[in-house]
Amino acid sequence: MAYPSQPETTPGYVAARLDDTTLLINLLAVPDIRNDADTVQNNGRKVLRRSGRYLEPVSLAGSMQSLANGRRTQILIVADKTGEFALYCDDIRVLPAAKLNIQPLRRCMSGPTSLFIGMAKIGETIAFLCNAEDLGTITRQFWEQEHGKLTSNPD
Amino acid sequence: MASSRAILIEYASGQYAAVAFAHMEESLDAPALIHVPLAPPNCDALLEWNGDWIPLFDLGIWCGSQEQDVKRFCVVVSYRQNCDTPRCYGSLRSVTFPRIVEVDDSAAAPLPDPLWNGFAKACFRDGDRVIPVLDLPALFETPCKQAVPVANSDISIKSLEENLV
Repeated sequence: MAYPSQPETTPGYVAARLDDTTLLINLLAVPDIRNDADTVQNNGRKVLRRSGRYLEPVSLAGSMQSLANGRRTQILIVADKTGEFALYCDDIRVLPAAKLNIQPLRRCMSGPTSLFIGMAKIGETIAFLCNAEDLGTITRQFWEQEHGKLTSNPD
Repeated sequence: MASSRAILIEYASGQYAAVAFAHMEESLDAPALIHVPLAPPNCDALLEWNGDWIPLFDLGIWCGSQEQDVKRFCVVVSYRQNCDTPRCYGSLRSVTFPRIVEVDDSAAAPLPDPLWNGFAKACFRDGDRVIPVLDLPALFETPCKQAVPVANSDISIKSLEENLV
């Protein structure tokens, strides 16, 4: 059963692992996947250059709390209505939609602060589906609590 | 007077809720769970059961119990939202292994707390305890933000037998 808020025409999903939590995001919301080696230093911070702007990757723990000392190497770039954000991940996979059986999470598991709306089994792992907007809201919140603005213009 | 069987679930130390016996699928001792980050604390884990992952509801947290109980038992229950919809499965945490009781209409009682309004189908007395009978579809199909106490606890207590089938 496809979750109602997910476009049924999506070609696939990105599975991104943070510790022991695997996120599933619509592939159409992921414009790029990069690596820590692609970052450059800007005012002492690691940033990616994207379309003439700097984008700072954010580190989140698997509990979806802020992770002060990043140790991951893969970088997932996600686009939502606000713009782009970047998230450090342990590993990132792209899976065809036809290979996944996404089930909605029961309504009792949703609340004012919840992030995940569905789940799918990938091998022996359970991955949790989220909307790009909701993930973007949480990512920006944690980053801005610690650093201020998420993006800055190089000029 | 007809009687029905119910399962008593100790959701916090000394506090019980009931489920019709026919709705109990299995009781498990300390099964493997998966934590769902950022889910409401009263329902932030999934339990693997028969190849499926089902929500695990903690009534103790939902009720605001301050007890630090170890709830190692999980009771798998089933319900239908309507008579023509497929059977759904969920699970409830319990401090102790669930107990079977026989209940008849003479034990009917008003709800002990308005918290249960909309989440209990009936209520009965077992010794000196007042025990709500859970409305499983309401419990598992209501988002957390709606699971709050409401002022009016006036619930229509139908026949206990009717609510325990």
